[in-house]
Amino acid sequence: MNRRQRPGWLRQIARSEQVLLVAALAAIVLLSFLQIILRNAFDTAWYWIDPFTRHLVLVLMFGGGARAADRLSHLRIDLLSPYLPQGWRRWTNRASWLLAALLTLILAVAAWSFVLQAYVWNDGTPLTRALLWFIPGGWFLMAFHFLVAVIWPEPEESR
Amino acid sequence: MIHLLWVLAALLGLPLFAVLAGMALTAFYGEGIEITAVIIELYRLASNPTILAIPLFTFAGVLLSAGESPRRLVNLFRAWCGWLPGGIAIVTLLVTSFFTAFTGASGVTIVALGGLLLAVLQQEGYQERFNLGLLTTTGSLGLLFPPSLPLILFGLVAGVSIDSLFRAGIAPGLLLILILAAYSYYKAGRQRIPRTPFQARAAWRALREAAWELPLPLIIVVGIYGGWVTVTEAATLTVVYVLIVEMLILREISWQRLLGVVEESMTLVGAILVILGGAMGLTNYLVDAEVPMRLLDWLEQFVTSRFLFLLLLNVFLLAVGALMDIFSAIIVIVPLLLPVAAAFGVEPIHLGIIFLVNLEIGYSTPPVGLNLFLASFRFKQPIWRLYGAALPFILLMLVALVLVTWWPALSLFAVK
Repeated sequence: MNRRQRPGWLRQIARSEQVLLVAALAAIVLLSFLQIILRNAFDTAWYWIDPFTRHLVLVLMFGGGARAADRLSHLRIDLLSPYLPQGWRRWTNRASWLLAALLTLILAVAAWSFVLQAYVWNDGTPLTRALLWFIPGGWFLMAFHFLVAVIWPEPEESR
Repeated sequence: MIHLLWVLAALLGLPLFAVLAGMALTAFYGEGIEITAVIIELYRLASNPTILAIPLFTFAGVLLSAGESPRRLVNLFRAWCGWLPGGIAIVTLLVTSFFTAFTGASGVTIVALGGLLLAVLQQEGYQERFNLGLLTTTGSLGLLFPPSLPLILFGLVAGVSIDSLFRAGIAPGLLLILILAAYSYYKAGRQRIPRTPFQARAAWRALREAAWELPLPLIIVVGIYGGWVTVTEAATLTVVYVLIVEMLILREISWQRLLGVVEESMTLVGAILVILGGAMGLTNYLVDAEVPMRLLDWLEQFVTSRFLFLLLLNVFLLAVGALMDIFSAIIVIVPLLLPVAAAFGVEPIHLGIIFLVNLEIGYSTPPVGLNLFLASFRFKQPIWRLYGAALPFILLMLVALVLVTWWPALSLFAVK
């Protein structure tokens, strides 16, 4: 079985990630634009907008990272594998996705405890603290997509 | 030993962010430091005030390339500069630079403009080899102009003022265009390309058609240097402007297509930022372990002058540019290089411009420069054919590199 034959619920996850990206980007654009108007036209600013929009970049970072993991488009150096025979390449690719899944899983666990510590220390505002959950969530999603790539490889890899 | 295994994994295709995060995790674990430190370093991204510029400028660039802007800009430059000797080739240099500045050399330039410009060049009678070389190398021309994403990323990683980098890049960027324009002029003469007469009516029509694209550089350059807006605010205004023009005024992008543009641009942003996040932990470890200083001590045994250092730096960066993509190179190499370059008296802003010119050339350098693959794919040509076609352009860009490297004032006069 390859990626073209993936079940529908995987496409739903991809769709949710797209919606998340659109929502986060729209919020950043609207709030940043509002802040420019407030600063220049009314000589004031809403203090929470700047840290909040910067934290929304975390949503874009991990939402985009999850999409890149799903589309297997993360930047790679990959100098050796093009010279390997097709059969070997299939296995080095799968091993790479598996290792990537393992590492992102470890990062997700580390991020989880980081967020818990942020709550203990009362870091930032409730709004920015809530956005921190996208760090472990994003790593988990990436781990999930890499595992899916191990199970359902690219069509040309499954030949 | 374990780091060598990570390098091997990278060469075999492990995503770069995972390689960097893996190195950081093993380094922290080996020192008995909690691995949460990797996340703490990554979280520092959210406190950087200019971080917003990355997703916003990337989105604006991809949105711009999704509509009819590429065609309008080609028409505009063709109508106004096409009468010059070598005019269409010079038009190619100007349009691709304009576009790359907005799309950040993500490969969009060759994909979006390549087919259109190749047809125009062929129609004018330029030889195919010249056309392929020109379009391959110009796929990254414009990297030094604001609001190029690599400039912003260099500023973030090196802790250098982004608007100073924007200023410093303009003269070297123009120098590159001038040198390639002079070559185009020479080739047009050799190939006896007829000159297109200037037609005022066509020029006026093209100007009117592109009236919505033309203010974009002004919003950024005048906005930032006039002291009206910060880099991040300029990025926000650019997005709002491009959205209004493309969605409401010209109506070239449907809402459905907009979703695709968001996904495409944010996938690139996510891929870059996770590398940056992964690298921050590793960089912190390397600085704590005084790796750059040890590298400097080692280097000082063989390199005794600034001249020799700059020479080696260029050779090294050209190799990096041919093997790594620009974003990964900036994130991985700049933190190590910065203190070493400073010890040899190279200013961070000057280093940034040298770095980017090298990587701009590296994009078209065999065996694995990204532009070569994109052009091979776009123009349906075997890659070895592009190696030869790009060679004269690479040699000319090396001339510009020599000037940029050993004439710091070219970059720094606009900053000081």
